[in-house]
Amino acid sequence: MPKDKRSQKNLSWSRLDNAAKIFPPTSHGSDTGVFRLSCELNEPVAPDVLQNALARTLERYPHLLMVMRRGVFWYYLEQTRLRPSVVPEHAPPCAALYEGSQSLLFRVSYWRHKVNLDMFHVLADGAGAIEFFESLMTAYLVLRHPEAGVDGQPQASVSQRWADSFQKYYKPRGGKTASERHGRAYRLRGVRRADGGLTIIEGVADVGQVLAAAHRCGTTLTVYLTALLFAAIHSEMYVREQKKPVVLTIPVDLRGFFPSRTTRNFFGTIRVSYDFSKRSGEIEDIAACVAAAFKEELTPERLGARMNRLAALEHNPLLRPIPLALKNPVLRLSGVVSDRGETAALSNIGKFRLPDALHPYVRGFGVFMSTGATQLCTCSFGSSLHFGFTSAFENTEVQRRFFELLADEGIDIEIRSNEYHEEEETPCSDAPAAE
Amino acid sequence: MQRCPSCRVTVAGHKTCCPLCGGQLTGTPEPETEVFPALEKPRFTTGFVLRLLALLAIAVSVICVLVNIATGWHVLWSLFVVAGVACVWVAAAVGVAYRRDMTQNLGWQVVLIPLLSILWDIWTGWRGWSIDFVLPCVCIVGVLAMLLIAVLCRLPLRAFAGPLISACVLGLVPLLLVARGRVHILLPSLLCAGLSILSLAALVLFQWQTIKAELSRRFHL
Repeated sequence: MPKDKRSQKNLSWSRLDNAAKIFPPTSHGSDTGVFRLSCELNEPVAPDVLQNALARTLERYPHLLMVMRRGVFWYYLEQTRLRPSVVPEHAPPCAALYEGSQSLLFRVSYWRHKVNLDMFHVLADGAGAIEFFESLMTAYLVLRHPEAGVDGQPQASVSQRWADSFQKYYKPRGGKTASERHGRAYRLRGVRRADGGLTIIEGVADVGQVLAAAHRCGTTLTVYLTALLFAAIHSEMYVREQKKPVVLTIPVDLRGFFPSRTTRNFFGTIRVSYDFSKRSGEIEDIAACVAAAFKEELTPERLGARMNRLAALEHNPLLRPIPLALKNPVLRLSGVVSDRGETAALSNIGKFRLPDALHPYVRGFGVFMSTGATQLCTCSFGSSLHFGFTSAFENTEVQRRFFELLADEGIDIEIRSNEYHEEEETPCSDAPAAE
Repeated sequence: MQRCPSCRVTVAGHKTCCPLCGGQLTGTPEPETEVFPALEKPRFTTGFVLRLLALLAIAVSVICVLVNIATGWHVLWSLFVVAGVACVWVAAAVGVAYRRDMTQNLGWQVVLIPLLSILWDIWTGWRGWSIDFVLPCVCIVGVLAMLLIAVLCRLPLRAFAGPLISACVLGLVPLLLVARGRVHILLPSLLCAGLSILSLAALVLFQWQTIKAELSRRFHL
């Protein structure tokens, strides 16, 4: 099978980018560092067509065909000759993908009307994976429905897509701003799932209805949803816990601030906190507080300074020559410390885009991110707005309260979940007692 | 569609309770609108196998210690059993952890087994058997086994270059020990050193590009 012996001998490899370095050591339990994009179609998926589309799309994304290997000081990505096959969905959403140096770092699966892309965060971030997934779904629908008359559109070059933008924009002395200190944040309580997996609650609403509610509140969609999540978390807090602030971590796509076409990681995070012991807790007040925080944090200067501070760690001449086996526990510990400062995470992925002619075949897109606590990912396609709640806990108080707040505004919501109660004998919580 | 009257949401698929509040649902279920498949739980996980082995190890240890106590304290032979069982468990754990990559597995065993042997040797009053026999023999077997696996599985060199080079470098240690006069029985150490030098020379002479690329990947800072 190997045709070109020389190319087989010298496989290309690359370092992990700055953000990717944190995922391998901190991935454990339900926090696998894997996220899922899914696309629901209006008809059952044809696996052979999907396989074909995947092969065609990967020709334009050869840098996704990588395995992760251990070096002496860092992990690294190495090109592989493994090729992915499209498989029926057999693993829970965001299940771990890295199983040693013989496993690809993404998986395409299907079930009934739905196509899933599970991606290890080492390989790409949300925006990068969306670009690949949109290409894949376009290729699939073009093959499945040639009558739609759509052509594949030209895109960025392969080298642009595989550029390490963290390196490009790193300024060694750029991060000289006061380092922010976060105290301990309020942490969600709950019983962790026995199987170590994620509780998935997916909500679908009409984007127009939610937007109208946001406008009634006098704010934007993202700020409104962030405020709702704060309020939902507040409802679960004991009064004595309210002295701790609720802190939401929000990933920000840096491509919007620093020009880049990479599909590798290029995101930063900001933290927005709200102190329910000092402020009123009204939605309007939370929204004002969130909007002010966004305005302050979402500037190229602030994000750049943050990025440089993180990158400085990687460039630290004392940290670099520590062997990987010793570095891993240190990075894991820093992950634990950083987790203490956050209550939950909220990720607004934005809009999925497909050529107009393909819209009739697609019902919607969804996004889920693995987490050790609770995370909400939102995205939209056409007129549908998608809420993907993932949680390491069994209880669904925050999710229930969040959707209740939306229902209070008269918004129609459809709930989907990966929970099955059929085999359990326990009746519903409000069922009449058996005689 | 099913509907939860208390949460005021519609629920897709066929659920017995509301996924949000756990309350009863009204309306007719539509199983064809289910979005997630009901998955079968995996029977064995890595963690389960390791825990099973650990339980086995603890069982053997406990029985031996109890028998030791019951039959008199004069000789504490059960301590040897406990330490031996612990060593076997560690080696097995490494074996399970690297089960998908046999050459890497061998690479770690080549480091681990001599290390544990040296500890045993020290603990039981240094007689030197660990560096006379175990270290060189394990290195020889390790290097040969890697080459055999590579030939049988037709592995390209880059797939096992890392473990092979480290095993060969470790194989040079017996030569150092001979030079320092720490080794009493020379034959295994000399054989091991010879094999290591030969392998490294062959690698450098014929596969320098691959070796160089592998080293630059593995050692990048």
